Amino acid sequence: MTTEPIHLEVRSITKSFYGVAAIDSVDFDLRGGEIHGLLGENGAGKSTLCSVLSGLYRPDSGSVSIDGHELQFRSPQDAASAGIGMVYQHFRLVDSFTVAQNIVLGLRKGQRPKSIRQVETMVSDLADEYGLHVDPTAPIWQLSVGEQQRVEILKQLFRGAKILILDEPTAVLAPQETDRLFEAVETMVAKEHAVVLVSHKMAETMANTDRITVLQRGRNAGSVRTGDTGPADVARMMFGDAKAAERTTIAGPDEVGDPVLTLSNVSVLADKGMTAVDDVSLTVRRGEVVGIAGVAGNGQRELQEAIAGLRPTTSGTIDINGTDCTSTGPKGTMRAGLAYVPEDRLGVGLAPGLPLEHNIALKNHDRAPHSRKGILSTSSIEETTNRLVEDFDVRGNRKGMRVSLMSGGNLQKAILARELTEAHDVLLAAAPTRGLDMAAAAAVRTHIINERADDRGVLVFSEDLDEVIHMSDVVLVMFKGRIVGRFVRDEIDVDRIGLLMTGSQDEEAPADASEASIVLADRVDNERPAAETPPSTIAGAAS
Amino acid sequence: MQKRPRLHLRLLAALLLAFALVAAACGSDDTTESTTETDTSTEAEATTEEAEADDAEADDTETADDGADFSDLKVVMILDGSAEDGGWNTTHLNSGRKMEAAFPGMDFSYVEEIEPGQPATNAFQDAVDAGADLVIGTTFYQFDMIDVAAENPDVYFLTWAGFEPQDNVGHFTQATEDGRYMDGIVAGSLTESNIIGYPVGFPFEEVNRALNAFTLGAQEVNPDVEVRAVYLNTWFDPAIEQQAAEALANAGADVIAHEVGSQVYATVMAERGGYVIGYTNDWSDFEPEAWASSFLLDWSTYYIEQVEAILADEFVPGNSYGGLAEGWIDFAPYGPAVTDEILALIDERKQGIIDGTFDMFAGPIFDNQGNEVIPEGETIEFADRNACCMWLVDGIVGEIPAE
Amino acid sequence: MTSLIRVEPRGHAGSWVRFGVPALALLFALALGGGILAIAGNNPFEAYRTMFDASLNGWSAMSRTLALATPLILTGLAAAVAFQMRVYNIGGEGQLYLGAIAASWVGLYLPETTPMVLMLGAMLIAGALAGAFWALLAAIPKAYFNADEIITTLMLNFVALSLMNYLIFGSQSFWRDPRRPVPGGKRLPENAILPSLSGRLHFGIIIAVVAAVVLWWILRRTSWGFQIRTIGDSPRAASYAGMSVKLKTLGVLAVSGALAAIAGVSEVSGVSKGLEPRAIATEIGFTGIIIAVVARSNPLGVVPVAVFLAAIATAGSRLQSIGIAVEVVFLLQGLIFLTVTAGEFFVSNRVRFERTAEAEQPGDSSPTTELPAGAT
Repeated sequence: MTTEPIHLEVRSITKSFYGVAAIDSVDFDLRGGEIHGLLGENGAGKSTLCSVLSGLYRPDSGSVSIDGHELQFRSPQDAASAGIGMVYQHFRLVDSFTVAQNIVLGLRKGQRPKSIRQVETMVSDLADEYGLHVDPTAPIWQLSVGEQQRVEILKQLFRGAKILILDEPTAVLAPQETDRLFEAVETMVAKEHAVVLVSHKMAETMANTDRITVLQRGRNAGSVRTGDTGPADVARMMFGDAKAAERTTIAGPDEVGDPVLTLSNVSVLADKGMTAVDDVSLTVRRGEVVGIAGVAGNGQRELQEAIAGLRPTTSGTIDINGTDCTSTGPKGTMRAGLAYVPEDRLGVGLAPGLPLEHNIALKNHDRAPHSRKGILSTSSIEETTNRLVEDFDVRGNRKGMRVSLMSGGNLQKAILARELTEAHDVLLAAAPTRGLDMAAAAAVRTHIINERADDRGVLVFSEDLDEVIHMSDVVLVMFKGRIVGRFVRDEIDVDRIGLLMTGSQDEEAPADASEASIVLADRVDNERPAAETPPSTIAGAAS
Repeated sequence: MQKRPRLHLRLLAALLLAFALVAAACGSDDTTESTTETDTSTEAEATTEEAEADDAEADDTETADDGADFSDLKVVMILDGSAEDGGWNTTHLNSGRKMEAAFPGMDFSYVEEIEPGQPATNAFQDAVDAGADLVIGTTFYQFDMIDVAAENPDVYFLTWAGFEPQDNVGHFTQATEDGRYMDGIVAGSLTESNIIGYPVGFPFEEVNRALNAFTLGAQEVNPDVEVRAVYLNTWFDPAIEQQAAEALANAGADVIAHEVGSQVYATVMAERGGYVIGYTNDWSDFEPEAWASSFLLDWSTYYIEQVEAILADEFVPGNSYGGLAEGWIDFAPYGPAVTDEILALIDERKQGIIDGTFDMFAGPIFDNQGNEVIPEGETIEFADRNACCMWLVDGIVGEIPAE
Repeated sequence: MTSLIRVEPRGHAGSWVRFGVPALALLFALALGGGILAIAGNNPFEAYRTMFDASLNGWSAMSRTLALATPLILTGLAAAVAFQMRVYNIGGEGQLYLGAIAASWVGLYLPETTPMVLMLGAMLIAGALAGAFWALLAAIPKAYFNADEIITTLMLNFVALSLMNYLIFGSQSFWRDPRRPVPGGKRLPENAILPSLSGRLHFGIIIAVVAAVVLWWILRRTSWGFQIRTIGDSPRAASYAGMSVKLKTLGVLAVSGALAAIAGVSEVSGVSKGLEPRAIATEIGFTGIIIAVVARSNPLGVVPVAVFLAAIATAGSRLQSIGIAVEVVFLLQGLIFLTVTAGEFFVSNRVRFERTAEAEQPGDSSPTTELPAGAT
């Protein structure tokens, strides 16, 4: 054991995928004895950085060094032997094995104690030492999620990790379990371990870290001592400079038309039966782009699916262009005039194993001119496909090739081509540019914004705040299944949006936001034109 | 009567065989080892080593002690199961070998594992194409070979349990009841609880007839005996058979006879200290203590008669029904518990059937519903027995399931 | 550093791969089989010559092969149409029995003088409906309660077998011929028998081939088929596009059951000419599943695969008659079929050896590909 606390330095790491930099010249500094928050929006590069640190990816350039020695990780094993342990959000445990068996799983002969009894004793001691109590003889399937997480942490400690990277550790935990986790983290830090807390939750990061590094779009947005800063500064670092975003905003039409999509008090359940969308009301009118900003997992997906008719609502009504589509199913919403670009391109928006023609005709194959009396016209489908490929600049297709072999940008253009050329009055687009390169993203945005000029309504969901601000006439903020803020163009306040997205109130909010309860008296109702509801009336406790 | 399970996929079986590649390849040299030894003649055993080598020319050089040369005579036997099943098909093959021995030089061959339906039709056609003079089908292949027989009037066919008349086709069915009566005598003499279990497959005439004969035999030595018939509604299912055997044993049966079925009956009876009566199988070595008796079949008399008739150009088509008198029925060695007194009685009854002095179906016979089915002074003629029985004699506990 | 074997679908197989690989596989199988035959003491050349003569050489051999292939094509199609939607109908066997039962009932019930076209038409329709009904018994719980169709269709096979056995062996039913010493079905009248085309080859082969073409056309050229294929590829994309997965589940299983049942009609009317359980219950339905898998659920692929399988099977008794032990015959048959179909795997997939650390490849087709992680 070194007397000096461990010191990890990351210098100028760059890692690209298909020519797009996921992280670009990122620096990161970590010392034993500290809890270091790694913050950023979805896609900001947090996961990529962690994957580089844990040896899963090899960086294109830059260096990682520990205590001054530069290291090359060729595999997760290399990183583990350097003392870096990663605890993923999705556990990597074998359900039918016991805790002790899982902990030694994957260790080579020499690294592994001879008997499982010995392992159990060692695990037991380790658990006592760090306050990570779990029965080493219990099979994983009997354990709660919190206990399973403890097993993952113990597994890393057992392997001698001095640096623990916890990826969104609280996402799966109940509040009491969260408290216990942070107690254990404190113990580790007291023993000179370094802990990286990866999160996009402002409050818990502010409350539990010593330092925070913020990534934005793959670059360093700043590194600060937690005590020296407030949530507003951090939010600004996360979501960028408001002024810059506003400058790129596209001017909207002079006036908006009739409502084409109206949601009244809609509630929706998630797959697991919890309320995912809680009493949401909103209106989209002709000639208007309404953007919904929010961190992923706050009910956006369920709301999209409910609007599209793919998920039943538990209460409220959904009206599309004067037709009640609350329970008509996807066919009904299509007929009523909804075009839908779903979040999952492959698997929902497109049938991945089938060719482009098939996917272009996916929704209208059963109508003229694509089919008459149930018989398809392949020539009509082919013509349409060729035309749309031309018009929307979809590239990389070969006849008969499964669409999954095409790139993300071309897939998205293909979906847009299909959705926008079919008669419709309102476009629902979810994460329309996620994962696309700059050119493709710009093309997609242009297509969406052009809808407005055609006097249609657009509802766009995106985790990219800049994008939402850039495209929208009205920005709504979604947090924990509710609309917690509404901003009209010209009044957009990026700092406030950032705070609302992370569940923080505003810059006056106490750093320990987990205990702050922020109250929103009445729901946001964006039918009142240009009336911004004060964010000070937001309901719901931040976690 | 013979039925076999068809719960295997041939190709998957072949895949497994592929893994057992070497074993299978080598195994072909000693496939005949497991040929069942019954009390067949020594000639039969002498020829069993020629299982695969049915090369007509090879036999040419060493023909005939008595000068007769039958090397122009080609006989093909078609078996629906494995020639080594130790039961139905093995019996047929052994009978065929006896026939082969009776006609020195005869080109006798067989194909096995031929499913009814198109594969069987093809096998019959193949046999004809290969120049067979006589083709023997050992299961119910009637309708699989009917067209082949019609198209090839110069070739003779024998097929088990057929009935559609054709000029060049002989049908043969065994009088199971002749053997079953003797087995009934054994069972009746051995039971102490006076309860005999008798699980069977499906309730149709031949099965019921055998069951009736068995019961009548048991009643001759033990008037109080009760035969509990259980229809399993399956041809072959050791799990169900096991349950049936145990249920019968629990109900007090100390002797189990059965129809078709697997060795589980012998196993269960051995565990319970009871006795098992086989069905055309000799299990005297398998569970010697529990073993009581079983009738066996021997088709060689019939085969030889037909070959002789063909050679003499005197072939008579139509059905042959044969039992003890015709030499079609034989018996496995009796178990140690069977007394000499009973053996003597059995010999007497056998002789009586052969002489025509004993008729098991002589009236009056009552069914188990209390009806007189065969009045005093009447019987079922041997030739008409095939149509019997859709009733069960008094003393059988059990009913033919409703239609 | 470890090496990985990675299997990935080929986007497109060149003609060399398409024809060369199966040809090589066949040669390989023949060489391996030849070795086995030699070890077993048989002449491989004589054996292959016999196989060829028995199943492919000349019209009479071909007609035997095609006759055997007829029901296999139909049950292969039955499995294939369900697989197109990733519904696993393992119940072709039982649906085939139901088809045979219903068709033989119609054939025996209608007056013998009924014109052949009407008689056979009625038998086909009745058989198809019975098979569809039997399949729906599994389809309805699948569509509405998400009951696993693999289990239900499989169990219904046993019920169907028991039913058929009961009708012939267990009761004096309408189907059973009372004259017979061993229970069996009544013979169908002349007009209820599919006409022979050549020797054992009957009109059923035309029904089977037409069914394959029609099914291919339906799957490729109708909106129903379009939806089946969409659901098969991605049920979520299908729901997104407003397709009713439930109704299609019912429809596709009904069609699948009807096709398997037509195999039963063809067997009962063209081959056994009466309800003969032992000639009908010969695993034609199960074999159809293998055929559909090998044909990759393509109806037009089912035909050659079924014929190939039938050609191998047809030669069986002839091989025995030249003195090859039955075990060796089965081994040889299985070996050839499996090797050639395994070759098919290499036509449609590419196998690559690579190192884990450099596991990067173009396209987002593979789930193992690294992606800029979206959700942190």
